[in-house]
Amino acid sequence: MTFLQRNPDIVWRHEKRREEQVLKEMDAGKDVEERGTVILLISGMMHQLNLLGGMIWNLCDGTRTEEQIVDCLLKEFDVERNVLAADVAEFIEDLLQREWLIYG
Amino acid sequence: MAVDLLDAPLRVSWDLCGGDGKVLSAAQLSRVAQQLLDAGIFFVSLEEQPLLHPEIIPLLQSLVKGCQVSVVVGNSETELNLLGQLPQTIKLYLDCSQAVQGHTFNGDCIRPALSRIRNSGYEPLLSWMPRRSELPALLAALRFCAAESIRGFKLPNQKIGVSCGPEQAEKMPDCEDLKQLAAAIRKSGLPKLSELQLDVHDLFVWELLQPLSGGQRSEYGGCQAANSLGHITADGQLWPCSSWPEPLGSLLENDLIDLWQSDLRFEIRRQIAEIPVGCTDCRDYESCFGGCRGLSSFCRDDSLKRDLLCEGIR
Repeated sequence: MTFLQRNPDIVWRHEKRREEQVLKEMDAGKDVEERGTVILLISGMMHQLNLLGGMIWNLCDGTRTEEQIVDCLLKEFDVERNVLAADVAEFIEDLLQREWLIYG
Repeated sequence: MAVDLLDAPLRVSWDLCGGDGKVLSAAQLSRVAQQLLDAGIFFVSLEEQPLLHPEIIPLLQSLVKGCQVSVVVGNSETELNLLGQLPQTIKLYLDCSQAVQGHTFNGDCIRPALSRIRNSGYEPLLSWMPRRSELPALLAALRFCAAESIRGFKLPNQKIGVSCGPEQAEKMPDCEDLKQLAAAIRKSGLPKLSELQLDVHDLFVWELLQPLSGGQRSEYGGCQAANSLGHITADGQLWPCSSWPEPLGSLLENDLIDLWQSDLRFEIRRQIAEIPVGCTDCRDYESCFGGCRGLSSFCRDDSLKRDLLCEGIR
């Protein structure tokens, strides 16, 4: 069993108020792809994760596998499992390569 | 992805002394510090001789639990005598403004303080807020950094103070200063500073020093007042940044998060999002976004509202 966890050296913050706003906009049918909800500070550079990326990031707390993260997200998004799983896999692969996520 | 409308600032500068000489009580300091911790502020910079505040040690012990803390140290005996009592996780910046005399930089007057900082187990860093006609001294300051193996040099944003009076506006560097600095760099070149980490707030100064900073500028997406930046004055007032002439409200009477979600904050961000009249059709607007909008609002008596260091449309 391989649990995903955030690199402990990364300083980050969950923008809860902004996430609430983004969720409202998404419900209203707006494109929220470019709206950040999690702020990461890495080597002095600030990065943002969008709604899906931020949710995945929050779930990577060292207690879940990739499959379990997809299970959690299926409760939030009205989407086919295979579509969501592909998005999650792509995002996690990218962050593993950057070493922002690691296997615990 | 644009950096906009954060829940709370990421960086806060906090003047512990200064103003009319009054300082916050232990209970008031604790209240403000707890708000910074609760809001998830990444960086807190304690300024205006913070080591002279009688409650500095408990404040630092509280802040380092959740924030990365830097402290600007003056050159006084009282401040330097405290070095051994400070948490080792903080960053210490020695205020080197007293070493600047016109266009020259006299490092001799800060060398003893640098030694004491080193002897206390800290990597000494320098901080300097250049005032009008001083900017050309920057080259000599950088050469001093090279000679003394200084690893970090910060040029923070220009502070306008609580009074926001016209005498403050007259102290701000302008584009003539920048031209003189550019001419000095053309004449003698930039010193080689491979190990120096530069933290330059002003975009136009940063452009001149870019070869020293590896070409990367952290988190610049336009003026960050009332977004990723915030400032607290010695009386507990929260400001959009130290260069903005209007406070958001008191942290002794309001919660930081509430002030950051207030109509006034959003109105300031709306003003910042507008393209200044003087920047219309400028080819570089997409890289500078109008520069420092607080100082241009505060200091410029024309309607163009360009950054003070900007010479004109490119």
